[in-house]
This record gives sequence, structure tokens and C-alpha cells, in this order.
Amino acid sequence: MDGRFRLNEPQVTAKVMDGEAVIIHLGTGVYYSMDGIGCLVWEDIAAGSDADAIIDGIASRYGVDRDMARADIGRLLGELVAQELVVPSLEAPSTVPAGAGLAAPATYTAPVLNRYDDMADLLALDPPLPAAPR
Amino acid sequence: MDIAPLFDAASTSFDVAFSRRGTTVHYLVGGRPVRVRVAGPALAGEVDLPLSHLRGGTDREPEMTVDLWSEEETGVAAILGAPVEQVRPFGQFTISDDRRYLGEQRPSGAIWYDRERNRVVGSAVGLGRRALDERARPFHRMFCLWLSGHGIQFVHAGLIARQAPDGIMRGMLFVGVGGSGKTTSSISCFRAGLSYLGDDAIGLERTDSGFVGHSLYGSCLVDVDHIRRFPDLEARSLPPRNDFEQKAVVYLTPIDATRMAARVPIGAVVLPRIVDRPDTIFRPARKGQALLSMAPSSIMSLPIVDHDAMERIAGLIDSVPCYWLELGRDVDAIPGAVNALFDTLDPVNGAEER
Repeated sequence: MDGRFRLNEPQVTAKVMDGEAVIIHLGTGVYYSMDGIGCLVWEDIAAGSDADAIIDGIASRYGVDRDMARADIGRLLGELVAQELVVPSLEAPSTVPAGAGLAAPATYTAPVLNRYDDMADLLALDPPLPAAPR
Repeated sequence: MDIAPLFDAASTSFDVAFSRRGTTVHYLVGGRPVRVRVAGPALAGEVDLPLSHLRGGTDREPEMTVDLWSEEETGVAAILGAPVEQVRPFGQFTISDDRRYLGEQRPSGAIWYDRERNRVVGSAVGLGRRALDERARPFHRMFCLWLSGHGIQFVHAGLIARQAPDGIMRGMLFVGVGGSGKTTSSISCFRAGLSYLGDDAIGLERTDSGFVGHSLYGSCLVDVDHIRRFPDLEARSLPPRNDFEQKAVVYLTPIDATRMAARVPIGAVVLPRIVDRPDTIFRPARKGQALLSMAPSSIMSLPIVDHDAMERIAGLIDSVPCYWLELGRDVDAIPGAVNALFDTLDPVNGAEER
């Protein structure tokens, strides 16, 4: 996974609170959470960092092998794209240093995207619509 | 489906029905005046039961009007978008492209909402066909959409309240996915004498002095397996009548109107969860966990997304302490734990956490 990504708005709404990213896909009714490194990655995406900067920032901050960080974070980015939570962005990457998010955990553990589909069936027939027509 | 002509046709038919057998009641929903006119005395009684604790506002110009008639009681044909046989058991929504008009069709009838005129008009085809969730929470999604336009956010939560030693009522919001124990916690506290504002649907409003929770309905929907643990409520419940209904309705205002409250400041967000232990305890919860428990079902339950919803909910969670409430096997022990938690919030104890 290379390049820069952005939140898949308006289908997706998200908020980071207390080290946890809560992400809702309004089109599918599935929602997600990430804490730890995953939350940090989410903050970096929202801040406009590209994939290389995120990987470098986290590898540097936690003193972990860059190839391992690339594998872990690349896998996470792949999941975020596959779940349509983020989409590729053509905008220029942010100059804000990656890996500096407030949600930074003390130690490195491989990021995990938690997926919850308990509302998906309920919303399958009548998913909520965006406030204004696109 | 073009909703505007259906709305207009329903409006015309309502006038005829109302001239035959009409009743008008005023309520304060989310603190805002709503006029409800119902043609058909039995239907009027059904609609009033879960709203009666909110009666008031007769001296104010209504900001929302709801007009409903009973085909059975008035002889005026219902205005339906599709034949009732083709409508899904839990109903279905139709929304105009410009989001001005909404239609909610049920096997029991249809209601049409013009958001520009703040008016709902609709009809019921047969009293016995109204689903229990319609009876417990009439006009639920229409009210919540209307309130969101006034900054009042629907939250999928229960809310109970207790008066603090300083005389101020303070509320405790129970949040979580279905089956987490919101309703069990809310009705256990009601039975123990605490004030009740709802078990599943609450209006959340940010004010200058903090967040307040508004009661929307004085009813509860209780899983049939759980209501057996509350025999006093089971005796007064309307049980499910078909395979699509799994919860019984209990109207709480007729049981004790003095324990029904319309709005309270929210003092804590509480995440119930059922655990295998004899007693019930509380302990601090992370705010991120509270957001995860509260935001998805609150935001996705309405037919049109309010893009400010996440920030409103996060604002509440950021402003009050959050706790796990681990519900043990003895439901009668729940109010004791909740009262102990209220004690920690009371200013006299000086232990309010943020």
C-alpha cells in the first residue's frame, strides 16, 4: 500500500477519543474500532500523511524494524481500503510528522482493526442516507 | 414513489376524519411544543399512553404537528403508498431526493412527514395491526429527525435520574448494543423508586450548563425472556403477538406518574454488561469504549444521517465520567449499585470524576 489516503466521506464518519478510533460505515451498517498503533495510523491518515511517512514515523518512534512496520501497517491499510473506510487521495501529503498523534501507545504491537456487524442486517434494507443528496 | 401527493392526499383525508371524531393533545417533546391530533378515540388513547408524561405546551405555538386517523374508527380510507400486504413487517422508509418528504409504511398503515412544514400526517388501517414498537414509540424516527434539526440528538440509551442532596436531579445514561442490559437496568431502577426517562430512546441536548437528556417515551420494550424477572411489570405488559415481535410493551406512566421525568442533566454515561456473578458492581470505563458503545446504533438508527451526531455524542462523553456497570444474576441488586454510583456523583461527596 503506497500513497496517501483520505476518509471515505460521506459514507464514513469517525472519531478518535481516549486512544480509540471509532469508525462507522453508514452505507453498510458495519462499524469498527482500533486502539494502540491502529489508532495512531488512523490519526496519521486523517492528518494527511502518506503510507511511507506513517511507516517511517512509527518505525522510528518505536524503534521497530521498518520491514515489520511496513508489513503490519501495509496490511492494516489494505483492510481499511477493502472495507471502504479510506480511499486513495491525490492530494499532496501533509508535512506534519507522522507518528506524533495524541493516541500514541507506550509500546508497539501490530495494529488490529476490530469489526462489528451486529447492525448490518438491520440496516441492509434501509441504510441511512446522507443529509443532502450528492 | 412520489411522496408529496401522498402527503397532500393524507392531509385532505385527515381533515374529513378529524371533523368526525377528533381529539387534540399538546406535548413537549424535547422541550418543544408538539400538537397531536388523532381522529378515532381508541387510536388517540393508544398514541397518548407513551407520551402522556410529556403533556403540556398548550400555551405555545406548536413547532411540530402530527395528524393521524384511524380508518377503522372514522370510515375514512387510509392513504397508503403500497398495499399493506407488500410492506415488510417492521416497515420501510421512502425518502424524497431532496430529503424534504419521508414516508414510513407499516402493515398497520403509513405516515408521511414534510420536514419543511414540520408536519406528520398519516393513517392506521386497523388498531390490532399496530406493531408493539409503534405503540411504545409512536412517530419515533420522525420525532428524532425533527429534533436533530434543533440540535437534539437521538441516542440509543436508557436514562434514569435521582435527586442529589443539593436538590438537583441528575441522570445516568445507560448505553450499549442490544442485549447489553440497558432496559433491565432502567426498569430495575424505576421499580426501586428512581425517576425514569426511557430505556432505549433519549434526546440529547447540549446546553450552556452541560448536557441534558430528554425523555421521548414513557414506555419500555422488554424481551419476553427478561420480563419474567419482573412479574409486576409482566402483569401489566402487552405481550408479542407474532413471530416478528420478541418484546413486550409496558407503559410506565400509569404505574407511577410521579416517577416519570421529562428532562434531566446527565451526570454519567454507564455501560451495562451482563456478567456471571452474583452481585452488581461499577468501575470506570474508558471514554473510547463509551463512544464505541453509544455512537454506532445512535447514529445509524435514523433514516437520514446527521453529520454532527458523532461530535455531539463525543461531546457528552468527554464531559461526564463513564463507568461499566457489571450486572450480576440478581436484578434486584442493580438499583443498589446504581445508587452507590449516584452517591459518588453527588457534589456533597466531592468525587466527581472527569
